[in-house]
Amino acid sequence: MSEKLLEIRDLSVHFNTFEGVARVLDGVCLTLYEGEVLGLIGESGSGKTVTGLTVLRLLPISAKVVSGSVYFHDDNLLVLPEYKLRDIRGGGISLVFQEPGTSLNPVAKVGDQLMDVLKLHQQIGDNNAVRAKAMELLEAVNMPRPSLVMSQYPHQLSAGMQQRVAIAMAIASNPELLIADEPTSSLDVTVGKRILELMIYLKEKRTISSLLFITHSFGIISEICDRVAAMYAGNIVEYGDVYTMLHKCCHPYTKGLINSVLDIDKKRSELKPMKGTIPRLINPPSGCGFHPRCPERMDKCPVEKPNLNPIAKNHFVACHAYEK
Amino acid sequence: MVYLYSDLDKNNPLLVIEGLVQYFPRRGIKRREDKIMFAVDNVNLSVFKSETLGLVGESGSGKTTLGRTILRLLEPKSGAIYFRGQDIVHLNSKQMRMLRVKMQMVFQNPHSSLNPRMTAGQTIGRPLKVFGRAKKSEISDRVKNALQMVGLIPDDCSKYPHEFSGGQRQRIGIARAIVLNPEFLILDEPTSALDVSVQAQILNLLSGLKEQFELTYLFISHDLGVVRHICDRIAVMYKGQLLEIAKTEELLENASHPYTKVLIASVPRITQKPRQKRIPRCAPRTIQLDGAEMDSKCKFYSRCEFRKEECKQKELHLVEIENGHKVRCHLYE
Repeated sequence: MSEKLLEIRDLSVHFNTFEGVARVLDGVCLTLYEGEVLGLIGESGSGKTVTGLTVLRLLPISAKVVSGSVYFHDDNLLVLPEYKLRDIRGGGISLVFQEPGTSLNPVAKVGDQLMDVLKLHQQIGDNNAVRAKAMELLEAVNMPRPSLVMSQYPHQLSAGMQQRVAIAMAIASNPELLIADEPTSSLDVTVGKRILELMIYLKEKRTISSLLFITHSFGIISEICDRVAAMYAGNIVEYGDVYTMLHKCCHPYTKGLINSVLDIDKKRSELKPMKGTIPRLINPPSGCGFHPRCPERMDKCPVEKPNLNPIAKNHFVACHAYEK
Repeated sequence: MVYLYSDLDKNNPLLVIEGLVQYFPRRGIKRREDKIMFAVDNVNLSVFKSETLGLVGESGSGKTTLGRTILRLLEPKSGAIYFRGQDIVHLNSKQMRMLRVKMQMVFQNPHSSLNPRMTAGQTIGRPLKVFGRAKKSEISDRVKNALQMVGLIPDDCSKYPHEFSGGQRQRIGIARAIVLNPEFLILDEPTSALDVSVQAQILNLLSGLKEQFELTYLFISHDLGVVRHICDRIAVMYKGQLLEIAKTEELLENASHPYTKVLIASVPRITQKPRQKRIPRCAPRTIQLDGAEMDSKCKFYSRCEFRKEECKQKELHLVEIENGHKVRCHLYE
């Protein structure tokens, strides 16, 4: 097996709110190997985005990392001094956000924004060389008419093109890991499909080497990911390769997620939505966080929190029903 | 009970739209650059009683504008709208208001379509008050009844929108629309702002309500996966025009218009087999709009795989290729 690139160990993040402390991440363990695409799936509010942000220490001021570590190669990113982390942000690990419109600077030209990234991480002094490199990047993400786009402002581009610019900026410094936080969910279906194809294409061309793909759609997971982790209320509840997760998943939450997918190939009668909604994290349910919504609840569930146990090779489940 | 297209009373549609046009002026920097943008361009459509008609298309295709124009929230620029055989374009505002009791709308974003300073009870009771449909003493009972119908508890009526989750807020939006016992509901992407698991809950709620009250839906969405699960017929819209209309199964199995095929292919699917490594043959590109579609008769010209020179010039019509399946494309003329 290839080497570990990113290892998140027992990560807990709490947010201070007016109503109390929200336990947004509650002991997350996750490993990403070199060259793989790891999908992180869950409903909104399950802590997917916070996991992504914690890796680069981009959390808002109200958040506090209570315990855990994030190892990128041999560095613990959570204790790394700020000046070293600056090199990793955008250099070793970069991020693509959900809303392309809000992640670009509205008052700077696309070209200037791209060139800023290059100047910072690639140490190219010559302005013309930087400009040429920026054009190359826009071509790499298949932007039509890159020379024109260089001198345009973000609002002059469509959402799909804005997302392409954001991806170009993220791959500018050849990062070892790209974290994509729902890059297609705010786009049209047709445009989203093209962005997804672009990411698969860049992955095949090895422009992107490893990818942490955060999404709430199993359709997207099945198209791009190698391994998948399902997240619920700040915990990883199931973890396995994409085929196992889609067809042999065990955790009732993963099953529920798959059953509520509005797949175009599915018959109308097959739609079985999960009951209830995600719990409030300020006062989470005791024991297994999923027990109030779980159709397979046992007496043990509200009392004891299940651990992530292996049930097959590379398949881990946190559920009392699958404990030996 | 699922209504099939063939069972529907074809001679007596609930809503008929004929040649509906809606446009907006788009001001250029100079006066001579002023343009007109057609958001709804000569649309003909019938919605039959007790059916759910899906309206699909990308953003900017005019779906929402069409929905709002039908309710005359936007005044149609030309064309006719008949509701139960009555022309509603020429009704005065007072008559139109009385008719809106029968035609209601559920909006896309439950976060912005509810007044943050009104409790759920006030929001739902408001239409009853405005339209004078209930006595003061009855309002609270009707509101509590509506809350129960959408799966909330009566005690929720004193809560404010921020105390609810996204799915619950959308339920309030639906309760507000059905409290007047309407016949026709326009659902403008009611699930697109919601989580996957909540989406499924809302869709099941809507199907349940439809059966219970014999409602007719116009369901606007950009997601064919969603539309497939709730609609009896689907109309595909692009740049203000209808390109294809057919029964749901027919449209998904025998999609005829190149645009419909693109839409269907774009839906991410759960593959049934272990995935083979897919290598895209060529790098996917964004579409280059070279202004060709401005002059051509077919609006889809610049993106079409099968375009020919004649697509630019020949006038296009919706042609019936099978029972109830209509397409606007040269390939089928």
